[in-house]
Amino acid sequence: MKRFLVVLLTLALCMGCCGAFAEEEKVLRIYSWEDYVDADTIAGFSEEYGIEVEFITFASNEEMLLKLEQGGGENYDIIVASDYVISSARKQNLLMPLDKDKLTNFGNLNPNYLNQYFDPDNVYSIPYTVGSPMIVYDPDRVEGEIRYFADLWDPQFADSLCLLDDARVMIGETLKMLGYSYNTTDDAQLQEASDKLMELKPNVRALDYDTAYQYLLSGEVSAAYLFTNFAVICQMENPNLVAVYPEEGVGFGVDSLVIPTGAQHPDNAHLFLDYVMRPEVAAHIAEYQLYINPNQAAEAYIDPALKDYAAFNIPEDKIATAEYVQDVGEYESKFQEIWMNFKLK
Amino acid sequence: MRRKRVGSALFLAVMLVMLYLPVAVVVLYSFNANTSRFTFAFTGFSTQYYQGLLHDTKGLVSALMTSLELAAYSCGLSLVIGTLGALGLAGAQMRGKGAVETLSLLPVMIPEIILGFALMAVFTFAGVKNDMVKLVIAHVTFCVPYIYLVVKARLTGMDPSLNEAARDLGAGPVRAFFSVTLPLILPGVLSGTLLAFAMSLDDFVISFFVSDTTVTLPLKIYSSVKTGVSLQVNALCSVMLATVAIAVALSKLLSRKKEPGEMKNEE
Repeated sequence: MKRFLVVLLTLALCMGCCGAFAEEEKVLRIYSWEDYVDADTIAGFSEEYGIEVEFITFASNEEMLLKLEQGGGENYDIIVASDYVISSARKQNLLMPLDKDKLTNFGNLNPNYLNQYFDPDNVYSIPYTVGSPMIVYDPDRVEGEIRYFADLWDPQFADSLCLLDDARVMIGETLKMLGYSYNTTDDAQLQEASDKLMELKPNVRALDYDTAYQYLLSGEVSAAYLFTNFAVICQMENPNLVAVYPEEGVGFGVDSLVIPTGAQHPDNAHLFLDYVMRPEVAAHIAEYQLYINPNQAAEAYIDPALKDYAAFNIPEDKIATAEYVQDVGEYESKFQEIWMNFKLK
Repeated sequence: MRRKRVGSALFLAVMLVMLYLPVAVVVLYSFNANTSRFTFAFTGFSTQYYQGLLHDTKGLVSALMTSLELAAYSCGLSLVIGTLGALGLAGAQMRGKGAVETLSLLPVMIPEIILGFALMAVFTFAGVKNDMVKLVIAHVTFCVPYIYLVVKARLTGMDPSLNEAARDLGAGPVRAFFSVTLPLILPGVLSGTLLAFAMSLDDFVISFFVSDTTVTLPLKIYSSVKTGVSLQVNALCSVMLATVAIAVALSKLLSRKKEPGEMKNEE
C-alpha cells in the first residue's frame, strides 16, 4: 500500500513538473467568455503565425478580475474585459501598457470608441465590441411609433414588456429619461427613479439577462429593452420587429482586449491584437458577435445585409449622449436595493 | 385498497415524469435540425450536433477529457487516503477519535463556495502554480470524505474477528489485509470511489475558484452565458447519459450472473 502511495505521489509530482516545462514559445493564451472570440478567428491567427492558441473561459467579469487580483495574470496573454473592469484593473496595475509601435492597425479603429473614461488614450486596451441597449418592439401589436424610453410606461404595454434584469442598466436608463446621470449619487434623484420604475411594474411581464430576446421572438411580449446583439438577433429572426435607440439618450458599454501584467507571451499577444484590428478580421468578428463594430476600416468588409439592422447604425447624436455604467462606490448597493424592491413588488 | 394502489401509481408516474422529462427534452433537442445560433425551436431531425461533437468544433470533448483526467487523478488519490483513513480510525483506540472523524467530514459539510475560496487563498499564499496539481488537491479534499464514509460503513458491518482469524492462521498483516479485509470492503471502496468520481466530474464551484487555465466541462458550459449555449452540449449530455446507462445495465447483468458462482468460490 505504501509503495502504491509513493508511486502515486511521484506521478503527481511528475505531472506538476511536466506542466511547468510544457510551455512552448509559440503559445497564446486567451481568457474570455465561451465563444466570444470565435473559432475561425483563432484558427486564422494560429495558421498564419504558427502560434498555438489556448482558449480559457470565464463566466463573468468579476470572476476574471478576481483571478487577476489573486496574481493570476501570468496565466493569460489576452483577456476580453468590459469597460468598468478595465477601469478597476488599470488602477490596480493589473494591465500591461500596450506597445503601440507593434500595433500597425491601430489607426483602423473608430475614434468614437477610443480614449474613453476607463482607459484614457488607450494605453491598455483595444475596443473589441461595442454595445448599447435599445428598445425592440412588434409594430403589429403596438399602437403608434415608439421612440422614447418613456413610451414603455404607456398602458398599452400592460403585462407585455421584457426588461433586462440588470440594476444599473435599468435604473440608469430611467435616470437618463428623467434627465439625470446613469451614475448619479443624489438620493433625491435615485428616489425619483425608483418611484418612476415602480409605475412601470404593471407593464413588466419578464425580466431576463441571458436570453431576453426569446420572449419577444416567441411573442410572449410585444416590446423589450435589450442589449445590442439581442436586438440584432430579434431582427434577424423576425424582420418585422423594429429596433430603436431611445431618444432620451443611451447607455453604453465597450468590451475590450487587454494584456495582463505578467503575461508570458506579450509579443504573441501584440501580434494577436494587430491581427484582430485587420479590417477583414474585425468584419468577421462583428458579423459573428453582432455587436457594434469599433473598427471603421472594417465597415467596407461587413456583409451589407447586416448593416441594415438598426442596432449597427447608432446615430452620431446618440453616441454623444452615451453614458457608461461606472463605479459609484458605496452607492452600488443603493442601486441594487432599488432594483431588488422593484423585482419583489 | 384499490384506490390506494391507483394513488401510488399516479404518484410514481408523476415523480418519474418530473425526474425524466428534462432529460428527455435534452436528448430530443440534441437531434434538432435548427441551425440558428440563437433560437432553439425544434425544426426537424438531424445529427448535426453529433457530427460537430465528433470533430469537437466547440472544444467540449477536450473539456470533458480534462474533467475525466482530473476525476481519475483525484479519485485515485482519494481512494487510497479515504480507505486508509477508514481502516486506521476503525482500528484506533485513541482519545478524540470522534473529533477526528467529524473533522475529516468537514469538507462535505461546509458550503462549497467557502471551501473553494479558502483553497484559492491557500494556493495563492503558498504560491502553487500548476493548475492540475491545484485542482487535484482541491478535488481530493472533497472526494475523500465520500470514500471514507462508505468504507467506514462497510467496516462497521464487518466482523473484526475475521481479520484476527487470518492472523491467527499465520497470515502476515499485509497478507491478511489483501486476502481478507480488502475483498470484504471492496464493494464499499468501489461505490465510494464512484460517488467521488461523480462529485468530481460534477464540481463547478470549487474548480471555478481554483482553476486558472484548466477548463473543465462544467466551467466550459457555464462560460457560454454571454454567447448562448450550443446544442452540442445536449449532444454531449446524451452521449454521456447513454454511456452511463449502458454501463449500469452491463454491471447489473454481470453481477446477476456472477453472484451465485462467487459465493461458491468463497466457500
